[in-house]
Amino acid sequence: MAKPSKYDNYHNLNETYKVHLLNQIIFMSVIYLLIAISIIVAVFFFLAFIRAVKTGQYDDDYTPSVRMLFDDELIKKASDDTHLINKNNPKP
Amino acid sequence: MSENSCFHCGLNVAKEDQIVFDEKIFCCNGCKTVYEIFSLNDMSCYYDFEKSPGSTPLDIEGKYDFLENESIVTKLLEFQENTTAIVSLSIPHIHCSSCIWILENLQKLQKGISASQVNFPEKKVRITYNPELVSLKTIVHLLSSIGYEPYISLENYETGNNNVDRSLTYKLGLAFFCFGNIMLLSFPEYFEVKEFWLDTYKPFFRWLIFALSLPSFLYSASGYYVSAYKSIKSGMLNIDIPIALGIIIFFIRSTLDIVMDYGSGFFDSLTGLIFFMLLGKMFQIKTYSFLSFERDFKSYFPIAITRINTDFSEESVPIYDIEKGNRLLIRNQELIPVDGILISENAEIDYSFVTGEAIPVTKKSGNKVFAGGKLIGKVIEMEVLHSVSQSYLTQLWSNDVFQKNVEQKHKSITDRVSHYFTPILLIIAFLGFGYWIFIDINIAFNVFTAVLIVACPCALALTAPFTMGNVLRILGKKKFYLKNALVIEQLAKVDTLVFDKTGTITTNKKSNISFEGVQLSNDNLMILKNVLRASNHPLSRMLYDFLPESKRLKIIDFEEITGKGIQARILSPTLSEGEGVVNVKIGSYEFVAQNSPSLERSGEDAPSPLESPEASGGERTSVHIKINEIYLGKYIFNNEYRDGLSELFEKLSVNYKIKVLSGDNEGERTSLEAILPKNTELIFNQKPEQKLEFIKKLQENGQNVMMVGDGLNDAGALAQSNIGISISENVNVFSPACDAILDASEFKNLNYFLKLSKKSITTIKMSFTLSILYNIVGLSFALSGNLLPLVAAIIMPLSTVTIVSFVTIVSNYYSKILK
Repeated sequence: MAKPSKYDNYHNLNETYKVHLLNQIIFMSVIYLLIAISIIVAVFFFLAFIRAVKTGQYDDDYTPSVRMLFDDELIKKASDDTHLINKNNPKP
Repeated sequence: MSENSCFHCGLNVAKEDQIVFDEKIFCCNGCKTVYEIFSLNDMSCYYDFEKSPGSTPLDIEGKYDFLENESIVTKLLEFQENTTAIVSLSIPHIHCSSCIWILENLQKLQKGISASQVNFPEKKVRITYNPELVSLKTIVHLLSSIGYEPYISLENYETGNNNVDRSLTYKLGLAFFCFGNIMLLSFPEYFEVKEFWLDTYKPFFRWLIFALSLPSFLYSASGYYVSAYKSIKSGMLNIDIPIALGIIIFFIRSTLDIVMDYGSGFFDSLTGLIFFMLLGKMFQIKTYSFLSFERDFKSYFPIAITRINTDFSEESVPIYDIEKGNRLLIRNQELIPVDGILISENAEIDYSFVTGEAIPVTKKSGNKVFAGGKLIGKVIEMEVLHSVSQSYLTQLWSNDVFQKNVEQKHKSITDRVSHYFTPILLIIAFLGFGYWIFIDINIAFNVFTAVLIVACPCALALTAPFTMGNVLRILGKKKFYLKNALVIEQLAKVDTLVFDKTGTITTNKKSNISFEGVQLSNDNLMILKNVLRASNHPLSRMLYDFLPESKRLKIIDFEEITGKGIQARILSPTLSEGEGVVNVKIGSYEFVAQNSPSLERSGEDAPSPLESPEASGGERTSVHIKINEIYLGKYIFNNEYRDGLSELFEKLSVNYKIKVLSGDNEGERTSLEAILPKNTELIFNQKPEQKLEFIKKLQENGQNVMMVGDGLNDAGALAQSNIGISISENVNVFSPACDAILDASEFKNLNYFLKLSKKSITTIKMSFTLSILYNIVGLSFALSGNLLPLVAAIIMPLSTVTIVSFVTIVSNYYSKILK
């Protein structure tokens, strides 16, 4: 019952209250925008998760943790090396 | 690293055997070669991550010739195009970070390999290579030469790409997404602030929440609807019925609340509930991806074998193409895939996969050889009698027990509780409805739905998964690997234990050696030790380790005759050089006693290893000794029982009936009776099918049987029993299909595992009581007709958290205090 009354006598309200109400209306549409954005961001992350599962990133949860600690250990002796059979693939 | 261990493989080496290279000690040339390969290619930091990580490369000459056969290679590849091929190879030796490093740097050792990736938990490496530059055979040879020999079996031949079921992960992710967003959006309503903008946008929030709950309700929870429907159809009241009912009522009531503007609904609790229950399901699943519980003979058998054609050309053929009458060539360490007749003069065959017997059996030309044995020693030829599927061993798999393994034959403890829970819940709901209907029809409807919502057995349904999941992990850490959580309940119910003898209660790692004959002098022992040093035969190695350390003597002449023994001439330790040459003969009875007519020969055809794995037809394996033409006696190899066997059986016999089944003859009855408790039943001469029938009979008498076995000959009994446990010396490699795999070193803890399984059932019961208390509190809110969304949102996670922490703490406590 409070809802319509605020707008009904809009013209009778004093100026400061008018500004206050206007602010509230703008603020409310900002809520729409923010929630829409937050949901979109959440959906984006959810899709990223689905993709990660699909490509098998969760199948092996141990090896990557070891792998990331390897540097390219070959380099430390590579200066005088003639034995490297295949150097064209420095991918770790 | 200790001073005397090999730099590559860590094996302890005696001073005189050491090979020193690059200031490092190696145990053999194989290890040295691997080190050379790595250091030449600047990959010696292989040794920096882990100390002595390697394994000795084995001789594989000719073993992988079948990889030249295009059609076989195609079956093994995951992907194939002109210049790219991908293959996944399983490598049992993968065990440390050095292994990962070296295997992921394969492209530096071999041209044509573009990438390789290790999957550590599955012990697999996935190699991408260019088939125009390098063949699969070369890659396999490279891997073997650096000590990482891949394991290729018939199993790889049949399964292509196996699809992993990831639906639970998707469901869980979706449930969490919905739950999290709904929680955030419901917050304003919790505080019920009568503010203008909140009031205005209530419908927006509510309908958004409704929309977000739909995926969770329809997809994530779908497993419960299916399971509930199935259980109603089969007339069994399982726990999924009240869960599904609760979820559906939850959803309908909440939707009505929004539509009629009664309130905000219970979507937050609903999605939370679905999320937590799926989490429980996830937790319960603990897979040991490097183990397989579904193995049959296929994972033991090679893919291809060498066939000798009529024009004497050799050809690799898939073993399914082998026909009766074919001639096969079997190399050292190769498995005999079919029954047949030995054509070569003699052969040593190791049947340890089949029977658990470690000591090889000697066969002579014309003898029958059975599928499943591994050849040790020289190349042999054999003629095929049966094709693969008709061989003696593989026929076992045509038995019915191997077909119906999917069937769920037992009710879980949760299902038994819900058998009472569901009807009681419905009665309470209807009573509440009946009471309120005379006062206010709206409240009556509210009460009815609130009861079903609040009593939705979330805590009840979470108890078992979290307890079992936790116990599963505890047992896994103690090297007792269960197939799934249901096995724990079955373990707790077992009342009869059946053990296989050879390989299960005896170990095939070491033997108990005793001597029979003339007392040997110290000089003679020294001579024997030195002669045996040069031999690679398993029996020689065992005997060598058994004899006391001695100084080195010079061997003048040495000859090892496969299937017979060793003949050597050696400098005598007492006499000076020149005169003191001693003739030594070590080996089988016929071989050693050849020139002593007083000893009669015993040359009867040895029976099938499956019927009696005893090496020499009833008598224990023995090695005979003759020095300087004088027969001195024999060393007898007795089975060594596992550590702590009699204590374990003593403890077990208090609560369980124990039986020992053996394929052997009664030779060891007396020695077994001496060790084992009096009421242990010993049954000998059991064939694989008889073992299976024996278990079946026990079950028909209403007993819950646990079978503990090891070899392929126990496979039937393991499948038939309520719980089949397979004992394995090396869990990565061989174990027949079973419910649980026990590392042989933990055998003595079997009683502890059984006790812990019983205690975990106790834990579940305690937790059930706790969750019923929660239900009583919740129901009192519900029945009084004032279940606010906020109350539901508090009670539900609270009960979940307490239940989960309660069962985790209690089961951990039990695992610590039990001994």
